[in-house]
Amino acid sequence: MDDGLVIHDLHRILGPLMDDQVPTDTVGGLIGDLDELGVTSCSAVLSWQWCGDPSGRDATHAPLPSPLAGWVEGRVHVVPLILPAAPGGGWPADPDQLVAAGVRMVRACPGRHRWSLDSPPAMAWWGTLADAGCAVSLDVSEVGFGGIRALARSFPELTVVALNPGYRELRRTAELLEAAPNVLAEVGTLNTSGGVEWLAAVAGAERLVFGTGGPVNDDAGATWLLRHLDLPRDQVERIAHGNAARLLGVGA
Amino acid sequence: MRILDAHAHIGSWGDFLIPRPDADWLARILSDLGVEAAGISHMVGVGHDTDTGNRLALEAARAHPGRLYVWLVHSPHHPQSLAQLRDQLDLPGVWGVKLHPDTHQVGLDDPAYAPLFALASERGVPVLAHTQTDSLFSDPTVAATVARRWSMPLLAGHGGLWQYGLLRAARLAAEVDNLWFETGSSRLTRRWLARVVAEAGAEKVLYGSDALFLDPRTAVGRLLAADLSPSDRAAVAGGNLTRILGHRLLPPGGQP
Repeated sequence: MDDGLVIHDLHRILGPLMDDQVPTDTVGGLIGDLDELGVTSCSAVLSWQWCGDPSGRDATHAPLPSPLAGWVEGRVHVVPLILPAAPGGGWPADPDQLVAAGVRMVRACPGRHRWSLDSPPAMAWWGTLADAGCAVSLDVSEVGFGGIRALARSFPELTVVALNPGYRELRRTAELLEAAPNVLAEVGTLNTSGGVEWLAAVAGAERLVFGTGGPVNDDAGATWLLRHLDLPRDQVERIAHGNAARLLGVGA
Repeated sequence: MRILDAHAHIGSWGDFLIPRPDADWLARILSDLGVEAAGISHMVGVGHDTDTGNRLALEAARAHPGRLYVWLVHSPHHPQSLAQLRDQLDLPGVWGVKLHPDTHQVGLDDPAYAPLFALASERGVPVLAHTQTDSLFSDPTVAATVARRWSMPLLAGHGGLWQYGLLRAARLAAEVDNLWFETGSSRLTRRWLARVVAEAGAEKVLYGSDALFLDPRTAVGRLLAADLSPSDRAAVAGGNLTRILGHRLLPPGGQP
């Protein structure tokens, strides 16, 4: 694995899961996972926000970091999972808290948490986040390509990261990237034969980001594929780390 | 370490785009990955036309001797093709028979498959069957029932696929002598692979990629990264399939 490739996994889950026992239930465990795969760093959503109540009212989340912790131990970038809603119904109370904390990317799960991407509170939040240069990541399998496209086109200044498009959806992913220049696509699940190379040729490597959805989804296979893509090195580097670094405002 | 891919395909599929469905690409990638050989079935055969699919698969194997071998697809909707299959099973480079109960919409334990299983048992021909947990047609328990009833080696393709059913499928492979768990799957992770091996026993698990549906590079990465002992990894990677195939695994340069 000593190929010198810097890799940032933009889509990881940190913390215990409902339906599996994983070593990534702590920051140390997650870093251990990254080390095993030769991955430099990752962006991770906290499992309690993802599986449970994102507002954290249960407050039983130690020793995991706060959703607004930012970078932890230099390797794990915590992604706050937001729930735009009327006061008292979501988290955080308002998007200005995210801006004040310097958040560069949030995750949203409208399907899982039962709210609408185009609700009045959400529409206000997207505008605030776009103005602040904060991106939002959404799971395609939850929101649908149409949902992501509508959001991206409503807010051209908002960067939207389409997670988990799935190996069966190369065409729709390409359509989405063409329709909305402010969308980036995660490639970890685009693992049909030659899929990533095809999408890089069609949409441009600058539109693709590496992410796996580990530990729920396959991280090792996706990482191996990334290292063995039949693409010029500079394109692989862009997908592996460069595009994420630009998104997160860190050194490429 | 010898790596044999127990479960691969060539050909495109209508449900979604596979940018590289061709045998040439597969053969090159396998070579690059250090995978000695793969058993392929053609997607046309998995779908609507087994005769054409099998012909195309055999042609591809002839074009890549020692790298591509053939699982001949049998559909219970075309029983008349069983006679042709009977002859084709003797062709060098043929590993056995591929069944897809879900695309063909016939349960693996349906009497329609009985003539095929009788033939396979009579000749000791391995059968690779798609399995999918909770499928009426191909749940691993159905595969286990079939394996108990017949004597041919039965490879449970994908090990049932869904994560919540993997350990049950692994236990069945451990319990039933002539049933194996094959790993080609979009849902498998390196962690789950190690668990399956621990549950089934390394000698009952077979490496497969489900190429070209899936990119074979991901499956190799998962195999190499899984927390397995060297001997277990070697068994899964190719040792077990070597034993199952016996004389059906030609040395490099063999011709179908």
